[in-house]
Amino acid sequence: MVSIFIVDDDENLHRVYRSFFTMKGIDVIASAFDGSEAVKIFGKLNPRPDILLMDYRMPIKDGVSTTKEIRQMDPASKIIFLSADETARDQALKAGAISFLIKPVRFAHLLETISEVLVNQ
Amino acid sequence: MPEPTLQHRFQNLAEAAEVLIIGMNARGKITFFNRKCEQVTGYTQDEVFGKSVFTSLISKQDRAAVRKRFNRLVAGEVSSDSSEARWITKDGNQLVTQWRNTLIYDERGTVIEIFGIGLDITEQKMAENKLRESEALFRLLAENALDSIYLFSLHPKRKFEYVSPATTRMTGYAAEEFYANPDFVIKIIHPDDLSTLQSMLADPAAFTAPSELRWVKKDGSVLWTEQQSRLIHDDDEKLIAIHGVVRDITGRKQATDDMQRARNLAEFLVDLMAHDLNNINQGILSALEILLHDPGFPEQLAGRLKDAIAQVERSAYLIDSVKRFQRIDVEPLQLKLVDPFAPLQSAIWAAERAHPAKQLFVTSNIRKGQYQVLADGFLSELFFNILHNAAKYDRSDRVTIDVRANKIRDKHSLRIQIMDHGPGIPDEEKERIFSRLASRRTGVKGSGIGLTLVNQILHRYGGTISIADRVEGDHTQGANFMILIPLKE
Repeated sequence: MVSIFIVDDDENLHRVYRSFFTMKGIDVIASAFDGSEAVKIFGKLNPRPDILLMDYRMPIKDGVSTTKEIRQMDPASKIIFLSADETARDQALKAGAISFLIKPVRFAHLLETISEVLVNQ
Repeated sequence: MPEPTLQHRFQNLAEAAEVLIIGMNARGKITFFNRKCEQVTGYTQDEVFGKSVFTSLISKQDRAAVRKRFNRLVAGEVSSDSSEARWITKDGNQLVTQWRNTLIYDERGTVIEIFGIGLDITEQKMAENKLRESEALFRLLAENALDSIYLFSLHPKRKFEYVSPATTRMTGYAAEEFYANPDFVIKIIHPDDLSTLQSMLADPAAFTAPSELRWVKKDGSVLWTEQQSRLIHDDDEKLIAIHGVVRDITGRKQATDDMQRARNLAEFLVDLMAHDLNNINQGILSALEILLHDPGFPEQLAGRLKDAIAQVERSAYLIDSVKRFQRIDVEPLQLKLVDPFAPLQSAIWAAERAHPAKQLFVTSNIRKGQYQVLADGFLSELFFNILHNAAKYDRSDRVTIDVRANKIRDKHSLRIQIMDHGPGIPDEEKERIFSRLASRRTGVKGSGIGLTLVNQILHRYGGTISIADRVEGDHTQGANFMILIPLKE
């Protein structure tokens, strides 16, 4: 079963993502509402998630800084950005993100991206 | 050979002299007229000999005064000092002459002859007059100019030689305060510009380049100025003074600052709106999709859910357009040669994705490498907005759009016609459909922001857009968007 870690400061999005992934048989193994929390939780996760869904604009620590720290902990981590701020694309990819999707994104597109990432790993 | 007499020697000397020498008796009758006098007046000595100097040479305007002075000189009432008189030449021109007179006395002490030694100072006088006129004109201009005009002497003493009245209007300080203290400018310069002014004063050549400085006015407010100066050197190339013009640009600066603040605010609001609304859109879209994928959701309502999803995507597209619209004004214009083929293909692909429920059939006669237009990265955006609009308003599930391009040689442009089979655009709408921004009409329904964006993009390229009917005279058969984009020269 594919496992996923959702990092986003929007509580409503956590609910809808979780509902959808559960419906599609994807296991949401962790949730964080800011970058700092994400780094702490990621450090304790064992096993590590197959995919991290990462927002960019979050309180305390943004998605780019969070990505850098997580990639330092685990260079094999697969991070997909899901952000409404497309100006962060280059920074995110440079920090180690595998893909950058612009909100709003259709689930079909999101699933397609997840599959590609997992197939190419 | 007999030795020449003293009188003979004097005559020889006087004849050869490069100064004017005239001899007169005590009544002013001419007794001697040297060669130089002949040269400048055009009269020979024989023509003037025995005639009154007052009536034959002195101008009417000066005649009475010169005669009076002459009589007083002969009477011993005044000593011989320098005087000026205007002479009239044989051909009627006026000369200005300057004289010193020497009196010759007989044994009884009576004046028997007067010798005047003079210079023709006509050219010098004309130059002086011109200078005086030019100074008067300069002063008139300087005194009435809106800009401040100054002359600052560096040598032999540092001081303001001139400060025009506009300086007081601009700064609130009287001109006397500048005259009294050569470093007064240091006292009133804005603290943030003090080091700039000090380095300019240390190297006055810096004054010759246009510069902007801030000053603190007498009332405490800030004055922005733009100044340009010139350096004045003496004959030995030594820098002796600076003169310049100082313009009050406070209003212009204020307007620029206000504009920048408004732009920053607009950018901030657009960014905030785009980010937060798209987060909201993500929540709505995801929730709708969950419902759509839920096996328990009534199938007969699936169509309404799809409509709702389309509305969310439309909202996201609108937000995206607003962001792009804003970028057009902000991003610097860097036109390059672009093959329109790739941007058109990419726009067709994007339009197909934007309308998944419709089948788009786009035919084009633009081949790869066929044309090169002067454009930038927004060209694909331009095509997309027209294609998207055509697909949006065509009620058929099969949307046919024809793209045709041809060179307009006399205008050095490529004409691209994008023809759709939609409901068309009535004549009264054809003009104003692109001018949403210019006409400040914000409530226009239908075209959205897309065509205004198209117009803005073309404006960047120096191109144009107009709309015709696909079938002439019947707008209901679809629209023909005609674009002109400058070609490579």
